[in-house]
Amino acid sequence: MTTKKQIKNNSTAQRLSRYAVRKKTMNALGLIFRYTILICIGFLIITPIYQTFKEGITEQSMLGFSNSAWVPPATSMQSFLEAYLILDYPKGLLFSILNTLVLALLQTACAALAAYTFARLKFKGSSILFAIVIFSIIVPSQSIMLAQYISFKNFDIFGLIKLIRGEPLNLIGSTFSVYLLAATGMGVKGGLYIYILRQSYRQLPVSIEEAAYVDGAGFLKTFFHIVLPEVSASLLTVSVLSFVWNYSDRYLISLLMGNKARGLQLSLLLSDVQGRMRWAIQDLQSKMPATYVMNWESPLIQKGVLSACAFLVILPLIILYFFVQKKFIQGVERSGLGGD
Amino acid sequence: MKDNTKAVKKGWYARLSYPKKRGLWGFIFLVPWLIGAIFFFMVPLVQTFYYSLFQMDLKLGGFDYTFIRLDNFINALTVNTDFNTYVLEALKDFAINVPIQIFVSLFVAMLLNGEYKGRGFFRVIFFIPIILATGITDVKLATYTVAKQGSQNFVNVDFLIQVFTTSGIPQSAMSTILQTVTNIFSVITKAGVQMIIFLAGLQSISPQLYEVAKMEGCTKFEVFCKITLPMISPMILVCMVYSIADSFAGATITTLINQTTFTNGNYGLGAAMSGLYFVVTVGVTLICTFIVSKVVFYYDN
Repeated sequence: MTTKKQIKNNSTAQRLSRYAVRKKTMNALGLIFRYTILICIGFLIITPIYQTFKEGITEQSMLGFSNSAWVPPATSMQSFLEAYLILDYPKGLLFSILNTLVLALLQTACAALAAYTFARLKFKGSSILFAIVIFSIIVPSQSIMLAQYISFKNFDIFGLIKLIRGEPLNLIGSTFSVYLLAATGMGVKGGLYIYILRQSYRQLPVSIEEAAYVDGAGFLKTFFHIVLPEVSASLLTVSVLSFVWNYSDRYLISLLMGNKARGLQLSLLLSDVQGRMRWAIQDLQSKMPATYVMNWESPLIQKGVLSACAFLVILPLIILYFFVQKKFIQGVERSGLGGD
Repeated sequence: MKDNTKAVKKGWYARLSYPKKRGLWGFIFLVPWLIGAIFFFMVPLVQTFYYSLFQMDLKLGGFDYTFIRLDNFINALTVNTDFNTYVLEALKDFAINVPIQIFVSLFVAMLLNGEYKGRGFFRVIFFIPIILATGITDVKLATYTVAKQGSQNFVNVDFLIQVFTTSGIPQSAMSTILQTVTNIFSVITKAGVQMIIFLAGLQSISPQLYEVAKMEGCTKFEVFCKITLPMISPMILVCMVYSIADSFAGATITTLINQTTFTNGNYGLGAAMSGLYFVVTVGVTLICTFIVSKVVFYYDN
């Protein structure tokens, strides 16, 4: 009895182990494949960022004497320090982040609401309205720039404002108008967020909303407590994309915002400073004690400081994403939605 | 009595039927977007078409408008030597770039998704292309071009050319593939957004579906075709529209339009060019969306 059982056990164990070996090798091959491609492409991506960093961290007198593509000959924080002072970094960073955060939240909120209507409510003309969403994704902002500028300069709602104030409203030069654009879904790439979220809503089974209704939840309760948590991955994606694009946007801010805000947004500062690096360093020297010697004549040094500026400007985005990407996984593990 | 007064106090909202409440809230949800769409998008858009019918000359404090009917359009299509060529070029770029971008981004997103060591690290790295693509680092950093050259040297093209010339693949297809491989850096840079959209899509596929497939003994390929692809298909549509918009917005013709409008000050002609280009772009997008949406899977239908 016992031997028979043992033999039987043995053969199953053998078969199992052969299966396990095969599975293990397949998994290992898959892992090697995955890591090879990720590391190769990752290397390509990280190169320009690292080179920018390297140029910033290299000691200024040693710029251009590098004999290695990866290791700086000597390091110093001088370029970064100058970049920090030229950008007025803490002030600029605080303003940029707060300003961008407001814009990203407004855009996400507007898109989350509008997209739900587009996904779930069918009414006359809803497809035409949705076509407008697609249009707003496709039309490059430059092509309606002139008309947009003029309509912002003389903003009016069917002649109503002119009737009340005697003249149309000038929306140019105020921070409010940028927020207004974001809140009405027409900010930077506003159409895309609506589209992404609409597709995510449509990917949910209608039955969960029906179940919530049967259980006595009203429309708003269903939306905020049932529907929104289910699309949290997409909501997060949309808000991250919106943050990145608003943070680096130069078009709307330079078109609409006032001078004060323009001088604080890091993306604008960066593009502004690149043309006048020489004078920026010179200007900085005049503000510093004479013992601190700066060099502004050499174009290599100008480029080094510029690299440091560029690195400082994009660094917050990378740090932000590092913290946000962990949430990507949590958001989904929490939701226990099955296919039906 | 008490109950009765309460019912009266509840008022008109409580008496609405559920579909009507849904309709009401749906409309309220749409209002912010509707305001923006009308005043900040449709009005300027119509205005742009309106400008294209005029000869516009700058004068102090505004423009001088002279009505010239369709002359600007005729001018763009027949007189201007560059316009047609550039439109064709944009169409060619679109036909090549969009499928490549979608393929590459879906492929990379699937590699990034899943359980493996260093996942967070790789996700952060593959997020960088989105930052680079926004143009925030478009300050003339030589390092950026160095990286581009580096990626070209990184992939040994001579070897590839040899492989492909002996494999019997048609010349044109081969040059497309080679271009993709040598420009892998810019392909990845442009595919960053699609990658993150796909990643979110992959994340929201229920793990239960995969479990069931595993229990039923599906191979990995079957799982991809029968679960991943249908579940991700709505996002393919989004990514396609985004890729198309991106491809057309980045074409050389936009420089021509900008030059005509702002450098040469020919606002009417610029508006006409924008309008024509817009019609081409919308046409292409609608055709592609129509075709792809036939195979997209939604839960709700």
